[in-house]
Formats: sequence, C-alpha cells, structure tokens
Amino acid sequence: MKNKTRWIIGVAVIIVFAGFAFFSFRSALNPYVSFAEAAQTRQQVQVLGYFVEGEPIQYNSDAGELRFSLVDEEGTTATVTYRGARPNNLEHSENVVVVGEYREGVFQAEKILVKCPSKYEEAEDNR
Amino acid sequence: MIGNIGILIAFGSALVAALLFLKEAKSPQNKTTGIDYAVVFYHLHTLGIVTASVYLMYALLTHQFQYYYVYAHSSLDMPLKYLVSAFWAGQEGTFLLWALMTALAGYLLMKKEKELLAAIMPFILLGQLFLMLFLFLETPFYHLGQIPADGMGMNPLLMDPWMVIHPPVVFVGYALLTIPFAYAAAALWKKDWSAGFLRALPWAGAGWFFLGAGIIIGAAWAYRVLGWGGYWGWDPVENASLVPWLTATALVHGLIGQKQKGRFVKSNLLLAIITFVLVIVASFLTRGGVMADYSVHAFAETTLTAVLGIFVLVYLVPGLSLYLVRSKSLPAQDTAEGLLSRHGSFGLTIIILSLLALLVMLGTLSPVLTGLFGSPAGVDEQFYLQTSSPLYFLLFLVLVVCPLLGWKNEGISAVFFRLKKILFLFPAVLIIAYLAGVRSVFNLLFIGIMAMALVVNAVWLARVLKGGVKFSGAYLAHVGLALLFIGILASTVYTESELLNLRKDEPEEAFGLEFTYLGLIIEGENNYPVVQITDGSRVTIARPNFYTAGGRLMRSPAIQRNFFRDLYISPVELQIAGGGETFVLAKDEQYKAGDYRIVFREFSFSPHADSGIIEVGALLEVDDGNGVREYIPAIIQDPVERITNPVTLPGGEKIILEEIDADRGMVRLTFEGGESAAGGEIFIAEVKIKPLISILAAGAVLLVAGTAISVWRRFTT
Repeated sequence: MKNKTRWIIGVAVIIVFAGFAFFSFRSALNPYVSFAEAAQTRQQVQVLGYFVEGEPIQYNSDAGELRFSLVDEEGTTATVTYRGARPNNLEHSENVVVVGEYREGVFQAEKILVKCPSKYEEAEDNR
Repeated sequence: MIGNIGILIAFGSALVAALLFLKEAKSPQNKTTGIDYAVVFYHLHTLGIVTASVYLMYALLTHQFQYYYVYAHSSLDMPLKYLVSAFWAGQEGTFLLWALMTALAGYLLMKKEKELLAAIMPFILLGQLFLMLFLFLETPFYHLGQIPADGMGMNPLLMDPWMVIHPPVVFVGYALLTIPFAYAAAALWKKDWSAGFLRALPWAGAGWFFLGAGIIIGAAWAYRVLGWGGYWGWDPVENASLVPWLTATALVHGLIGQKQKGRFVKSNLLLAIITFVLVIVASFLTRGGVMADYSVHAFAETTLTAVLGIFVLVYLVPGLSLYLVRSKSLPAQDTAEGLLSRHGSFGLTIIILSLLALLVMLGTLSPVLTGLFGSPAGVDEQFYLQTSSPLYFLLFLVLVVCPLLGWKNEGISAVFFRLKKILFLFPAVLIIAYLAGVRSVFNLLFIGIMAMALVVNAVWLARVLKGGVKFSGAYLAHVGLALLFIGILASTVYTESELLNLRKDEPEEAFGLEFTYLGLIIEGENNYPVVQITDGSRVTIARPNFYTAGGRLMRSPAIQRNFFRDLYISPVELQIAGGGETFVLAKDEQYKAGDYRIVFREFSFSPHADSGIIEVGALLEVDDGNGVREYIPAIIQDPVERITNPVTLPGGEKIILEEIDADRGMVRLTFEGGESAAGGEIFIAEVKIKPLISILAAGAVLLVAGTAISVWRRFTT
C-alpha cells in the first residue's frame, strides 16, 4: 500500500513537472522568421540578417543606441536598433541574429547574437 | 606528406589492433600471447598519431604556409604560445588532439587494467578509427599548391592564455570519457558488471574532472575577454559540453554508490554509455552542420556531418543493444532503503542530474525539434532558468540532508535532530538576504537552502580534513558547488547595468559612484580610455581598451574585482566630438572653425624631381582674432605612400590637408579641435555591477579542486 501511494505521488510529480517544462518551453520559444513576418507579429522573434555594404553601424550617444541595417534572407532590409554594449566582432560578422520585436518601422533588438569568435568560422569560405 | 602517412599508419594499425584485441577477448582466458601482438599494433597506432601531431606542430612553428591549416590559423607575427595553440584552432587539429589524448590515455589503461583489457580496447579503438576517418576527410595537411607569404592569423579574441588551455582540457575530458563507455560495453559483454565495471570509476572521475575544469575555464574566458558581462550564454556549444558533464556527474555519483553498496548497476551502465554518446553528439552538433542555421557559433556544414552522424549511431546502437540484451540478467534497482538514506539521496541526485541534462538537451535541440513540426524556433535563456531552478533547488535540499544520513534509512526526526544546531541559520540567512534586497520568495528560499548546504558541508569538510586531505574531495566539491550557485544566483538576478556617456573631465553619477573620463592613452595598438572612479573616499582608475588586431577594432572590458561586487566596464564607443570638421575651400574662400577664420589662398608645390617625391601644400591665412598668420599644411606623395603633414595652430588645434583638386583649385581640409575645444571627447561605456562574482569564482575553484582530490583518491586507493 505504501509502495502504491509512493508511485502515485512520483507519477503526479513527474506529470506536473513535465507540464511545467512544456509550458516553459512553449513560452520561451522565439521563432526564426524574416523581417516581413516579424512586422506582422508582436511576439519576440529572431531574425538572421546580413549587414548591408556601405551602411555603417551608427551609434547615437543621446539615445544610447546602436542603429544599423540588416537584410534578411528574403532580401528585405530593415533598420535595427539596440541599446547596450556593442558585441565584439559585430562589424566583422557577415551575419548576425537579432532577437527582439518589430515596432514602429524598426526592429528593436534585445539581444544581438554574433558569430562566436570560434576558430571554425572562416575556414570553409576560403578553401 | 609525413603527416598523412602518420594518419594512414594510425588507421591501419588501429584496425589490426582492434581485431587482435577482439580475437583475444573471445578466446578462453588462459592464454595471453595474442595480447602482446595487439599491443605492438597499438604502439604503431600511437606512433602514427604522434608523428602526425609532431609534424603538424613543426609545420605551425616553422610557418609552413603551404599547408592550408597553418595558413588559416597562424601568422608570422604570432608569439610562440599562440602558435602552439593554433594546433587546436581548427576542427582538423582538434580531432587530431582528441585522438592523441585517447591514444595516450590507452597506455595508462593498459597499465592498470588486465582482466577486461582485451574486451575494452576494441571499443576505444573503434572511436580512434572514426577520428582517423575524419582526419582523412578533412586532413590538417591539405596542401595549397602554393606558398603564401603570411598566414591569416588567429582571431584576436582567442589570443588569451585561458583560450590556450581551454580546448586541450576539454579534449582530455572527452578522451577519458571514452574509457567508462568501453568498460560498460566490455562489462555487459563479459557479464562482469559488479567488480569489473567498477574499475571504470577513476576514469569516469578523471574525464568528469577535465570536462568540468574545461567548462569553467571557458566561462572565465568569456567573462574576462568577450566583454558582454556574462560567463554563460546557453549557446548550443556551451550546452553541448554541459550535458555530458551533467550525466558524467550522475555517473560518478552512481559508481560511488555502486562501490559502497553495490547499487545503481543498471543506471551506471546506461549513464556510462549515454555520457560518451553525448560527447560525440556534442561534437556532432557543433562540428557538423546540424545546428548551422540556428547557432551563432555558426559551424559550417562539411562532409563530416554524415560521418559524425554515423559515429553517434555506431556508439549508441551497439551500446544500447548490448544493454537491452543483458538487462534481464542485470541486478534489479533496489529500493529497499528509502529516500532518507545516503542511498536514497544518491538516487535522487542521479535522477535530478539526468533530468537537468535532458532539459538542457531539449532546449539546445529546440530549433531542430520544432523544425520537425513547423517553422523552427529556439528557446531563450528563460526556459533554462525556469525549468532548471526547481531541480537545482531540490538538489541543494539533498545536499543539506545527505551528509547527515547513513546508508540505511533514517527517520525524519533523526535528521532534524542532527540539523538542529544549525537550523537557526536558515531564518538568519533569509533576513540577511531580505535586507540585502532579495524580495522574490523563491530566491529567498533558494539562498536559505544554499547557505544551509554550504554550512553543513563545510562542517563535515572540517571533520574529514582531520583524517587527511585525501577524503575531503566530496565535501570540498559540495562547498564549492554551494558557493558557485550563490554567486550564479546573485550575478544572474541582481546585476545592474547602466549606459554612461562620459564627457571628458565631467563626472557622472551611477550606482553611488562617480565616474570621470580623464582622456585617452594610446600605447601601440591599444587605446585605453582612462576612467577615474570614486565612491567619495577611495579613488580607482579603470582602463578598458579599444584595440586593433588583425585589422579589426576590438573592445576589451575593464573589471574591478571586489569581494561583494565586480564593477564591469565595457567600452562602447569613443567620440571625438567637436573635432574632425571637414570642409572644402576654393581659392580665397573662407571657413569659420572654432575661434578661427581660415582662408585658402593658393597651392604651394615643392617637387623633389630626383627622388620622385612630390609635396603639395595649401597656403592658408588664419585669423585668430589677434592678427593673421600663414600656414602651409601639406601632402607628401612618394611612389609608395602618402603622408599628410598637418599644421598646429596656437590653441593646439590641427589643420590637415586631406585632398587637393588642382584643376578646380580646391582643397579639402579637416580642422581638429584641440584640448580647449568645446564639446570635447565623449567615452561611452556600459557599466555593470555584478554581485558576488568573487564567491562564484571561489566556488568554481573549490568545486574543481574537490573533484581533483576525489579523482586522486580513486586512482590511488
């Protein structure tokens, strides 16, 4: 009998935790989308973008934000703003992933994911 | 050539050695002649790998840029230590290093293991065969067909002492974790899972220690060098190393439980298999192309992907099949002792760690998993924090209670009786934490439990230390773990951040401190903005850095370490405002810059006919309000380069001649404001207050030291 209640409690704990993990997983998901799709949702999303040649990364010291243009894989160009320290390697990355929301015509990034300075990055392009 | 021959020899001899060991393992126990032949081929295998490794190192140190690998990862101006570390700067080199470490670990194994050796070695050599196969597909000795004058060099961020040792430490861990797998497979095959398999404990411990140390070194590097202020980003590559570390931790605890009471045999065998499979999965995810679209670590897709996938299957399928075939005859997991026993708490620990590994794996694979059902989506770090923290909470509860328990089950009252001397600590810590500004109920409880775990384990540490350092490993590691997590919680939840625009010599207030930008110091490639920080009584100086390396502008943070909080200053931008006004003047036109009126009158040529040097100047009349003076800024053009020769005005300002247009009689000039110019320089920095990083670091060191002591104990007794 004691064994049975133990089992029931165990299974209940597992179910509750699995449910909790599932909802946490759902709510933490940031879909990978294009800028066009990002503009249509108010959800936090991630966009992979490439820097536009000839358009420098500007820093506005009054607003305290970085401003630059990215073009996504569909060819849509968007202005991205970001508050905070500029990640190392930003200028030298071909592409970055910006995580944030598209609002009022600009993509407001909360996070910029720059290619890791991993040693493996350039090798394949040059071969 | 020599390198590729080495790899070829290593492949062939590994194959022969594996077959000979296999033959020996299948034959009856009494004759051991065959094993000597197998060992001879193992020597040859090692010789091949050592040859390839030595040759690659030689090629790097002597700048043999005809090899693509040397060209792509080193350059003439790199100091020796980074030339050495270029060995593992690319995936080909890391595979070679991995194979080398495994081959060398094999010798220690052959020295210590006799009985199961013949059955163990084929599984280790199987991995070596795959590594050799990768080195065929992507050889580090790829010949360019020409000899470039210089190499491309190394990413400047990687030129850090911590990054020199981080990869080899991780790969020693990977190599050593092959051995518990091989023990598990051999034990299942030979049905020797009680005594034989237990001899995997020191190896599992050693692999676990190196992997853990490697992860911590990587985190330290990220904090010191990357400048975003963190040490862990839940990036796929970081996660990929964390997951096998979690299962290895579970394995080591399980094996200790098995040694003490003969428990956990089933789960240990499974964990040993899973851990090494996860190690390969880690390299599959990061080196192969599976995560290429989703990870910012951006691993290019290569031919390796498919082979790495097969590598995973080759270890997973036979490992699990062997396990399933034998599972009926394996001793059942005994639950005779309840939760309130050391046995029970070991069991809980194993379950919690495995769940944590599963959750991290789930999050890491989220783009791949969601990609199966629709458009791919990745989880942010919220997922990891939310789902892991209740499990870590539970883990710390176990850590409080575990030292108080015997191997047999106890009543809850007995536990409370033993705890009562320090039970008052719990409310005391809650009050301190509350006064320090912690308001979240969960965080308060978490801090209370961690403090209890810290004290209980510290008390027990003091007790066992009387019996010798050798037995203190576990308690030391647990004290370290508690400190580490106190630091992690504080620095994750209570970091404050502010963006400061520091005008030169104008103090700014933040976090109760006063920051003043004093000016820029330039030393070679380094530009240090000097910031004075004062809390009213003490004055300190911070020097973050903008530096150029390999033609890139890099930023490195300044970190001021204090016991309670780190002050982390990431340089963002340096603006020379007021300076650098550029303007164009035609003849006799004037421009007002600062307090000056500048008029361009005429060109002044002074050709040096023989030397091919041409000097072109612009005759300027400058009126500073007290009279007109003439200046001639110039451009000196020789066959190779162009030098501008600016003039300095009485107030320290500079006028630079940028360009001339002789046909239209125009010049382009830049006026750079001197010291007195209004506006001045602005240094923009992101300043963070990160609490208890020192505690975190101390915890990490103790954790690693504790695991090292435990491993030492398991190897020597």
